[in-house]
Amino acid sequence: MPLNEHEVLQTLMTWRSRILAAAWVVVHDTHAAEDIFQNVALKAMTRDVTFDSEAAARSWAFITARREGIDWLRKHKHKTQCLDDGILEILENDWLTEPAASTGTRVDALRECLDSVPENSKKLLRLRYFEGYSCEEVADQLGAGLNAVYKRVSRLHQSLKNCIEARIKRAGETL
Amino acid sequence: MMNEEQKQELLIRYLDDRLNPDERAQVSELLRTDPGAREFLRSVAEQAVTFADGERTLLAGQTELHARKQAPLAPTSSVVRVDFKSWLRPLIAAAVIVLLGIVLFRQIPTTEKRFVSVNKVIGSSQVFGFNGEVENAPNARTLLGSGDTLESQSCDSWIEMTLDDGLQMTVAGQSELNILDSKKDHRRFNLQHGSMWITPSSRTQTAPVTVYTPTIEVESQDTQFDLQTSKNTTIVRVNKGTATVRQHMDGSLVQVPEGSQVIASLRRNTPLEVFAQPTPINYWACDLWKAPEVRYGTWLEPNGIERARLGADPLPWPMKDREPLMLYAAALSVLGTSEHPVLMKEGGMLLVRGRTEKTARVRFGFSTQKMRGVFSGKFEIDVQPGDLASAGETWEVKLPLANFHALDPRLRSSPAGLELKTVYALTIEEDAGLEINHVELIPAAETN
Repeated sequence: MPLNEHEVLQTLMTWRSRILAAAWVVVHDTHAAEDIFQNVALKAMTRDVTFDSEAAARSWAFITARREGIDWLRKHKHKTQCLDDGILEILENDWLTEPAASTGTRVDALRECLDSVPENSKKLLRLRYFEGYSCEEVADQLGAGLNAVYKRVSRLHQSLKNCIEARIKRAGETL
Repeated sequence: MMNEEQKQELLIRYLDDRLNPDERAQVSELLRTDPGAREFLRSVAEQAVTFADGERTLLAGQTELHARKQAPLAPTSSVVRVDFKSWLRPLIAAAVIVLLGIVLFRQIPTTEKRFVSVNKVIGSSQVFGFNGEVENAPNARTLLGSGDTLESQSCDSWIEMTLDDGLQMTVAGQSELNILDSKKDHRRFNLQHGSMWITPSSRTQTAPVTVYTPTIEVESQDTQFDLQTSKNTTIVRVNKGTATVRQHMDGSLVQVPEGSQVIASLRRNTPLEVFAQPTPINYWACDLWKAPEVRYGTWLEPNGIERARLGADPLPWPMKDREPLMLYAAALSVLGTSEHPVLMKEGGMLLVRGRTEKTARVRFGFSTQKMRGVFSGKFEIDVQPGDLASAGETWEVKLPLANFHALDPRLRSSPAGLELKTVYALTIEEDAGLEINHVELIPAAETN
């Protein structure tokens, strides 16, 4: 039996952070990624698409987000360097094969980790991912060199990744 | 051979769109063959969007309130483009003010029970304090507590607030919110009339909240819902989580799950019933003569040409250090006129028929929310007298949705994909005898 509208929406919301992230990998703009997710959810509700299973809805959502992302780049004549379809598919597959149950846990862990990030690192993330500045513009604002900004961004992401994994591991041990 | 750190830096440079063709090929190869590199990229993506999500809920500013008074009116015929950089600076400044506000807010002794922090005020609003004080132009530093009443007074206004536990509340249009009390584990509000959106914190668990309206009470925890109320009807739509709704009239009690809605009306005089939220439609014509819910304005006598005439009413916009600015406004709620949510799509347009007794420029606007989601701001456009008919004659304007400009582009820069909530028209400082006779949303296929 096909999923009803409520079940489709629930699936999309459960996978929201990953679908958003997949859209972001295409457009490199967090606000555009949010709009893309919104459009995906709308299409799922308003178009004549039916899904036999949650897996089908998930897979459709990733593909639709990718296409919407590519359309967005075209429409905005963006110079964003887009990965080819084959690689985007591999990334989507990685996302899809990670257990669904871990989605919420990962997002919660990430939020906790972000809360513990020092203010100057938050500023860096804010300028780069919320205000949408390029690394060069961030470097100008912070009075730092471009390579130094690349290093800082890269290390910050790695430390957040480590923090998330540690928290998930701790949560698993306490269960 | 690159080490892990070099690979990660290469990916960060790729995300910054700074690679030459050779390096791009290198990134493609890396992602195709190295699961660790893919995992890092996926993690960066998740971190970026989650961080932006958190910032979006924190962001607030009060840039529009003063800017709008002096801003030149927007042209009718072209898309108003938002200059990112020009509004970014005041927005950052406003965000700093808000953050300072939050810091100060947290330092205030809890005995004062000022647990509501105003984040953003757009348009006309007032606070009537528990101690009798009236604040004419509340701003992003205003703190509120038990006994205070907040009024969002104009059809084009809205107020965003955060509770001390992170819960986000927005009231919009003509709304009156009484802050009742804040006990340790429960917050209570009374929405006398108007529209309200409640969104739980994405980071922490929030305390249960009860909202009273003239017809019902809604109790929820960590639930995203919106409600619209008048003196005899309330509509509650739950978009995430579950809410408990009790009808005052007969005590009937229902659980409203995610994706559902409930309508309580004194006119219906029936127990509460829960329905799935209907599917959206993208064509909507407002039959004014069927007397839809008026948000602002006065019904005028039929004049032989028009059966339905909604006249603009004066609406003072209180100012802090000067006389109030007078608006003359008429506003309609979409929710009362359509059982289905009305969805705006790219290429659509709003058709409005009306007249003015004197030549005047008219500002048209509408409020929006995400489908099954949160308030998404208001959009406006000004139409010059030359684009309307002569004084006293009926005009009909077709306003492409793409030509409306967002009052807060950060919430959403384009109305496409959003739900239409209210439509309004107003003149500023001059009573031009504005009236509205018909409003219609025409989807793209029919506008060509």
